[in-house]
Amino acid sequence: MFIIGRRTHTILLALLLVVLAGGCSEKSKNPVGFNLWDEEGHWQVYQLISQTVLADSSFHVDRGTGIGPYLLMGSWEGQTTRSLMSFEEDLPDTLDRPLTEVYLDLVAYSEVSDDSILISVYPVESPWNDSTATWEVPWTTAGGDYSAEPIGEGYFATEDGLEFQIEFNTAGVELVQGWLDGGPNYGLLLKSDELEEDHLKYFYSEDTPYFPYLQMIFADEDEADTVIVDSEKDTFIAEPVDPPGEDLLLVSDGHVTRSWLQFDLAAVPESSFINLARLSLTVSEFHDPLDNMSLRAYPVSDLQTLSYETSSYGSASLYSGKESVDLDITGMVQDWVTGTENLGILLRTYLEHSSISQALFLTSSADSAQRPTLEVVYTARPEDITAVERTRVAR
Amino acid sequence: MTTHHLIVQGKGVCSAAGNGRRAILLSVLLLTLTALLLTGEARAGSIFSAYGQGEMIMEGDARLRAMGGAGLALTGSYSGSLINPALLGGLRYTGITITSRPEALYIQDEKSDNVLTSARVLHLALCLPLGRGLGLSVDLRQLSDTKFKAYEEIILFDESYTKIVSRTGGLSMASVNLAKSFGSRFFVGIRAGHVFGRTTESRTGDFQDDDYRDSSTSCDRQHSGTQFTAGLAVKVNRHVSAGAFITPAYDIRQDETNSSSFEETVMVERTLSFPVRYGFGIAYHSGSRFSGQFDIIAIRWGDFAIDDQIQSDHRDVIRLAFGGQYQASKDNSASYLQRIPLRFGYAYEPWHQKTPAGASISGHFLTLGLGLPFNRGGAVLDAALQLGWRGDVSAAGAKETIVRGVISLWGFEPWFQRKR
Repeated sequence: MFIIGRRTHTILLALLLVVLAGGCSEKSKNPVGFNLWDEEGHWQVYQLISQTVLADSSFHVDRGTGIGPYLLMGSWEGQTTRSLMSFEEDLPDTLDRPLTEVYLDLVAYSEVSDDSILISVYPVESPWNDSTATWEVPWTTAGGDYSAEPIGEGYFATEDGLEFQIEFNTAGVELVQGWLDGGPNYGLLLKSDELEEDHLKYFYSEDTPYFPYLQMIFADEDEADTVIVDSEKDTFIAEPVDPPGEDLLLVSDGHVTRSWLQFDLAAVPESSFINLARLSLTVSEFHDPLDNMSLRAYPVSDLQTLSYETSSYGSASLYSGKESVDLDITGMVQDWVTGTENLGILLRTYLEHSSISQALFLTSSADSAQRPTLEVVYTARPEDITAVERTRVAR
Repeated sequence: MTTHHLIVQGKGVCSAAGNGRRAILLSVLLLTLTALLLTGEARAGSIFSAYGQGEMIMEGDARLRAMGGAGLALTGSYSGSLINPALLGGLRYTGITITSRPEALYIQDEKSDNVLTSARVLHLALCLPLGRGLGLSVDLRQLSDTKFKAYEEIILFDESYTKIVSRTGGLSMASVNLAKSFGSRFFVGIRAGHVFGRTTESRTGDFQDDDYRDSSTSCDRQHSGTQFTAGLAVKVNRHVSAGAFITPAYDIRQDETNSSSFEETVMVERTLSFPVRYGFGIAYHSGSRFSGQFDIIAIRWGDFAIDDQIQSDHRDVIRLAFGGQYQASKDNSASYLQRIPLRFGYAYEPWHQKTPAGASISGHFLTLGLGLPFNRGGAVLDAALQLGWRGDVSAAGAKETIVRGVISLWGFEPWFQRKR
C-alpha cells in the first residue's frame, strides 16, 4: 500500500473514510430495550366491556316515506303495503282536443317473488302529504281514504320486463278530466293487498330517474296529442308491526320503529383517547324482503324527544343468518368522554323509507352472552385510572 | 465483523510546504463535505440513550481515542485542544480536521438481541495561527446523541398490537477557541460555544386492525444556550506536563412541544441547568519513543436541574482514562513503518442517569490505534479501535458490546504563517 503513488494513496484513504463514515446504516428496527422504560409513567391502552345498560326501549315514529326511492305494493310476512302518487302541478291548462285515454307508467326495481300480481289504481279521496302519510295518518280509515272501485288495474310480473303500464278505465279518464277541469285532485292509490302469500313489488319513485308518469292522450277525428305528466309526489305506506316485548328491541322501516340504548361509561376517564368503541347486539329475528338492512347508530341529543346528532354514527349491514351485529361507534364515545353528555344511542335503519324490514335484538334482560355489549378500548394515563378500574381492566 | 485497525497520527505540524500538501488539504475539505452529507442517514445509537440527555459524546480525535481518550496534558499536538482549549496555544500552521465514528453495537436484553450499526461525524475544526503564540480555532462538534428505537409486538385484547418508542436527535455546539502560549511551557485557552440541537421522542401504539385508531404522542424539544470552557497546560519539565480545564455550569433553554392523538398540543419553555465539568490530566514523555497520559474528568450530573428542580435520577460521574503511545522513530529519514505511532488505552465512562429501577450504568473501553503520516508529516490520518462494554442485562435492563472505530484526518498548511 505504501509503495504506490502519493496521490493514489490519498484518494484510496479518502474513499475508505467516506465508506466508513457514510456506508453504515441502521440494519433493522431495534427489538430490544422495552424493559428500559418505566411503562407506568406513560399512557397505556385499557379495555372496558360494558353490559351496564341504563336504559333500553323501542318506540314508533310517525313519519312518511316520501323521500324514499321505492314505491311498494303487495304484502310480505303479513304486512301490507300500498303506494300513493299525485299529478297536479304539470297538468295542461289549455286543451284543443278531448281527453280520450290515460295510462300510468311505472318502472319496477325488484320483487320478492316473480309471480304475477294484480295491481289496482284507486282515486284518493282526501289530501295527504308524502312526508307525513303513514298507514294511519291522515286518513279516516287506516290504510288510506280511497274510492271503492278501481279506475285501472293490470297484472305485473318482472319476467315480462321492468316497465309496467296500467290503462285507466272510463271512470279513470273522467277522474283525470275532472283534475283538468279544476276538480279535487288528491292523487292515486295503488294496491295489491288481496293476496294471501308473500307478493311484494318495488317500483321506482319520483325521487329517481325512473319516476312514474301519466300519459294523457287528447284526440279528435283528425289528430291526437300525447301529454306526459310526471309524478310530483309519491310515497308508500305500510301496515303497523306489532310492538316488541320488553325483552326485545325493534328497529324497522316502512312502519318506522327505533330503539334507544344507554350504557354506563363513567369508568372511562375524560381525557381518554378512544381507540375503538364497538356496540354488539344479538339478533333475535330479522325480516327483510331484500335481505339487506343498513343499520345505523346515532348519539341521542335530547332525551325528551329522543332526537339525535347525524354527524357521528356507526353503521352495519344485517342479513339473513347473521346472529349478531357490531357497530363501530368510536367517534360517538370519543365525544362522550371529551364532554358531550352521554344520552344514549339511537338505533334505526339508514333510510327508514325504502323497505319494510324488521330487526329484533335481545335486551339487557338476556343472558350475559347475548346482552347488548359495548366494548371500549381506550388510551389513558395511568394516573387517570382509578385503582378499582385499573384492577378491572388489567390484562 | 470487520474492524478497521488503522493508523496513527503523527505530529500535527509539517516542516515543508508544497503543492502536495495543498492537494491533501483540498482532499480533506472535499472529504469533510462528503462525509457530512452521507452521515445524514438514519442511524442507531446506544440503547441507553433512552435515558437522560442521551449519550454524551466525549470530545477527542482518533489519536486521543486510541489512548482511552486521555489528552488533557498532550502539549505535543493539537488533538487535546478539542477538550482543553489551552493546547491550541503556539499553533504554527493552519489546520483542518474532521473526525468520524463508525460503530457497531451488539445489544442484549432479557428477551432478545440485535446488532445495530451507525456512523457519524463527531467534529469539524479549522485552526488558525495568529502569531505571538496565539492560536484560534472554530469548530462544530456533537455534544450528545440520542438514537433509540424499540418496538414490541404483543397481543392486546385479542388484537395484534405494536408498541413503538423512539428518540432521536442530540445537542451540538459551534465554538470559538482562543489560546496563547507563554514561552514553551505555559498555555492558557478559552472556548465560547453556542449549544443548539433538537430531540424528538415519540410513543406509538399501532393496532394491526384498521378498525382501531392508533395512539401516539410526540415531544419535540429545541435547545439553545451558551457554554464556556477555560483551560491551562504546563510543561513541568522535558518529561512531564499537566493540563486542566473547567466548563462552568450553564443553562440551556428548551422549548418543548408536546402533541398527541388524544390531547391538545402543549408548548412548554424550560431551563435545563447543565452541571459543572472539570478535568485534570498528566502526561509523561519518556525520551522520544514513548509517552503516556492519564485523565480524570468529573461531571456533577447530580446537580442537573430542570427549571431549578434537581433531577434525582441523575448522578455525579467521574470518567477515567489512560493511554500510551509508542513510536519507533520520528525522523523523516526513517522507514515509514518506524514512523507509525502505535497507541493503546483504557477508559471508564459511567452513564449520567440511573435506570428507573435505580441501577447505575457504566461503560468500559479498551482502545488501540495508530497513525499514518502523509507527505512526510503534511497531513495525518489517525485511527482508533475501541472495544467496549456498557450496562448489564439483569441490573440495567440491557447490555451493549461496542465495537467502535474512530478516524480523524488532520491537514496542515502554512497559510497565514507569519514570516520570521
